[in-house]
Amino acid sequence: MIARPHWTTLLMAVVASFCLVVILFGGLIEARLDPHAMLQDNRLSAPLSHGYLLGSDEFGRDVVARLLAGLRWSVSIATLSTAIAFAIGVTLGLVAARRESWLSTVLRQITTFTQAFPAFVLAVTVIAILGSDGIWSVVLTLGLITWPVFARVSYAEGRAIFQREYVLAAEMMGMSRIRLYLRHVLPSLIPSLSVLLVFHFADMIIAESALSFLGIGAPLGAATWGAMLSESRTYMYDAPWLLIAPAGAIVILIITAQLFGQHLRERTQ
Amino acid sequence: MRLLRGLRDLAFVALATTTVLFFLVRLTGDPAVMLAGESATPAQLAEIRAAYGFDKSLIEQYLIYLWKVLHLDLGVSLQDGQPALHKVLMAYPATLGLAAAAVATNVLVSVPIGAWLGQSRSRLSSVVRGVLTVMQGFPGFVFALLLVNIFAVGLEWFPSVGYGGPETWVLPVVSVVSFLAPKLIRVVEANTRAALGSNFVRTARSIGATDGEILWRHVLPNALLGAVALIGAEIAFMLTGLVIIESIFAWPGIGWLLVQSTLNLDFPVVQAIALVIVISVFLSNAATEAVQVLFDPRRRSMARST
Repeated sequence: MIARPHWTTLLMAVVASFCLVVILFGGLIEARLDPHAMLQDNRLSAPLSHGYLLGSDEFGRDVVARLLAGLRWSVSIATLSTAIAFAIGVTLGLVAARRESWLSTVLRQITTFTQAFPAFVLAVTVIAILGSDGIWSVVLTLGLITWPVFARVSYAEGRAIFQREYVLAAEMMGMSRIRLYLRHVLPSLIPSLSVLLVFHFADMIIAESALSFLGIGAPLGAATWGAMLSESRTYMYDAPWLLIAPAGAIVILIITAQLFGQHLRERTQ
Repeated sequence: MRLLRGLRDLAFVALATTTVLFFLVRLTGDPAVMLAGESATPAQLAEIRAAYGFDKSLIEQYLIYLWKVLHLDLGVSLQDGQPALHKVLMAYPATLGLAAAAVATNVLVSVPIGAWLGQSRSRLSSVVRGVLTVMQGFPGFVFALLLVNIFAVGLEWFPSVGYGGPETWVLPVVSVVSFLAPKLIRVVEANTRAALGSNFVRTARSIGATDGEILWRHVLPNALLGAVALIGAEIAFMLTGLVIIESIFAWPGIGWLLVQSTLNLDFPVVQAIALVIVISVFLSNAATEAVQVLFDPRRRSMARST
């Protein structure tokens, strides 16, 4: 009998597939719902009026279309930067865990220091200095700044795993190093790393929306959740839906990820 | 010994930060063009290069820069020509004030709630736990925007921006507390529960201590120790939040200054802020450790033996 999935898993599955569909069919969706189309007659329409489900902004742009475009931007950045942080962190963490070497020392130092340094401040600084508008400067900066989280966990857990008999046996039988990592070490790390992945994804969503709220990273005029929140402040009195829509989108995505992460953590412990 | 080791680590972090920032700035653009503007003539550019020392080799420039940093000369702001460090230190009190008010409020709110949750199994406590889970899903700045919308725009109880009388402090402090409190409450709750189930509480109860005595003498001190560790570890996290909260409320602290300088490409000020933040985080970590050693007899004997 198959166990019934926990409700947080179902919620996560629904939200994740929705995000996937929006990202994959983004072009098709934007052909129907253009986030940049301006209709002067329909400026600041309230939700459910003039054919707008969630209203329109000060240029007559559809809030739903902008939310979906913002979702593509945020989720793409969060996924890619989490993947980069994961790849760098786990690789370095495991290599350092296998044998005590200069790399282990350097890594321990780096992870302690980056823990103490506010990553977001560093991200603001670096993206400003790189100065380019576009998805990759944000993705690379977030990924390259936040990898120590993964390095710390895979180093700590990897060290114990490399002492286990089956790993030592496989090593003595002459298994290649890469096969050893992939077959025997990485699988044991999957429970704790998957919890970390989910929480890191949520953190990256927050970081990205905070950056684009400040006008750092995303190109001017781009439809991002942070930019929508920032623009909503001009019309606080007249159009509260401009604030509530992107705030709701961010909060739903983050709460879903966090509930799912908590559930995963409880299951693995 | 501990002090020496701490100073060595501090020097290392400060050096690493200045080095990374120096090369990032220099490698990504010509600072002379940035200063003079795109329309400058070659003669003007050469003049600026000579004046700022950009004509020397990169290594030479780096060593000169380090020498100046050692003498607390972090250059002048490209915006108004004021010394960068002076500008940062002028903005620092506003940030420190907000941070201190937020930490104090956080402790006053979170410790009682956490201690209560740790021993309560009532229906109300599960409702509070649910609220906390939802709160954790709110990024601090989204919460701040909603607060402004409700209490400044809708009810007009507090001003929406500004720095001055007590009424301007309410919304910024509540915003910062909103993302600090859930974590602290969780830690105090877990520690209270752990302490309640521990052997020393059972012993105390068996020799006839009352519930109140157990709570005040045995459970709370232990829960607070965990809280101190968390507050220390969260300083870096709080600075992150302050950057954006200060920007929302036009709070003239270093977070707001960082965003303004970043958008204006005022790199000397950005570098000065990064350096000041690194040193502050380091000092607060050291202070946290000192407080823990001071209040925890177990740590105190450990510190003495090393």
